[in-house]
Amino acid sequence: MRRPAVAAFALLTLAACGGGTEAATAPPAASAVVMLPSRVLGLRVVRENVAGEVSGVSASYLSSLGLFSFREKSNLLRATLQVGRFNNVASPQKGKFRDAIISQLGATVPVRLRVGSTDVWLSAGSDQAIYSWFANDGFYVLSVRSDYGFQRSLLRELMKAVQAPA
Amino acid sequence: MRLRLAIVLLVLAVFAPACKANQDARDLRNDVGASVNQSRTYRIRVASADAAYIIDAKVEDDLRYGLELLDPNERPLLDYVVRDDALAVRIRDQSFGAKLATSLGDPVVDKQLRSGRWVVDPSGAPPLIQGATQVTGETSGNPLQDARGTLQFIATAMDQARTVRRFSLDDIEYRSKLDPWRYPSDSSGEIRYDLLRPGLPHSEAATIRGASGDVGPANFRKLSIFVSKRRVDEMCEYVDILGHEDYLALQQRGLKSNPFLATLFHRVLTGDTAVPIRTRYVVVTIEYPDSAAVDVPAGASAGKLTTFNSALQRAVAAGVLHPAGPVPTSECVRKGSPPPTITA
Repeated sequence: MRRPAVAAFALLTLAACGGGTEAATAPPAASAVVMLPSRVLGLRVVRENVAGEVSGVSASYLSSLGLFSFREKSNLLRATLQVGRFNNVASPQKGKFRDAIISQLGATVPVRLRVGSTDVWLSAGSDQAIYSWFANDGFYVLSVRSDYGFQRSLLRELMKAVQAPA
Repeated sequence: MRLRLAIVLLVLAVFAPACKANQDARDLRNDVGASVNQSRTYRIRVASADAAYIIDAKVEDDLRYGLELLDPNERPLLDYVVRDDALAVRIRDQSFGAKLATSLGDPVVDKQLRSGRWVVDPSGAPPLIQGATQVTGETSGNPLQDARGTLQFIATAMDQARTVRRFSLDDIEYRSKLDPWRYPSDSSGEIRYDLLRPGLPHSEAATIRGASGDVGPANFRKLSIFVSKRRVDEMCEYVDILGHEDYLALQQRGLKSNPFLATLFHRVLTGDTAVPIRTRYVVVTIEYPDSAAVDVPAGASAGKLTTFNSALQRAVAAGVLHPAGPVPTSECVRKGSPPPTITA
């Protein structure tokens, strides 16, 4: 479950490397500020430490990033949410920039869905569904176990939570 | 100098229509994209030899929608509501319910459904991504699933069409005799786009070998899309085999006039093509209200709907929606034009 998170971060950092000299001067990413409730749909929300994953990464389109886990009472991991806030080098309002990131998530061609008024891309990974969307100058990737029966409710709740002012 | 001017004019004459056609396709694709992004209500009327039905749909977004299945005479059969992970179902016509299966779930679910009450499965919503094989044909075999992807079907049909062309009576290629559909309304500024069919091969040399190169529904599809204020408001489709100009010509000249084409039509009519081609009439009328909120009805009892879903799918495949008699096919048809004929 942690692998897609790393992959998404890698994408954003690699993209920066190939994007020109401007990105190379961007400061390293800090921890993302996102206010999530302590429980969502009965799942315990924990902010994971991703410092190790991004140490040594200097070129990035992200100013901050974070990883949250969603666990059952038994500690079974049901889902993770990656949050990346774009820096001023990134251009998330451009379709090409978005497509470059979205097209590489998951093992299947992402399908665009409209959830409320937001575009969400759905792709499948190994035994998981990957929902990703852009909002508030940020990029969100929700990876959910495919056997979890309330994926869309979780997605809806999290979209609402990250849209709310911190 | 004159020669140069003539060459320039010739080049313009050759390329101008091509550019226009591409622009029409781009415009339509943009309008379809804008329509998909909005909450909407729509009615789908389907008539084919296999199934005839109406679906009234309400779409809040891609995860929340409600569908009402009716028979061709507008008698309600079934309500189907999807709200995020939840699926709620109610059988409106008990004679229809009786045709689905002997059991529609566990005893409680079965009893609730057969007494016309709502049942909600909190995690029973259908999958968001369908198998790749299900999108190649004209229909998935599941009317509820097809109803969900109506606007997406336009994009698929555009990919299969020879070209997209904005309707104009000035179009030199337009033949009203082969066109069943109404003209766009002048007063509302409505635009009509026609998806022009790829031509049929007339000889062995013109065919592409392999299953993917075989003729398909797209070769017989008369599809027009009506757009008002940059939003799709009607889609009219007729997969017309017996009215195809090549078939009519073959009938007139005799089968021996082109044995290749005669064999091709024989294959089409006997269902011996890579993707079966069936005569089919579909009209979709769409509206865009300010709100199209979809909720699971209060008081629905909870239960698993897995058995119901497979029973419905099997019953549809077995012909539960098979038309019992003549089906109305006059919607969208131009005054004076004969309505589409549905043949078995």
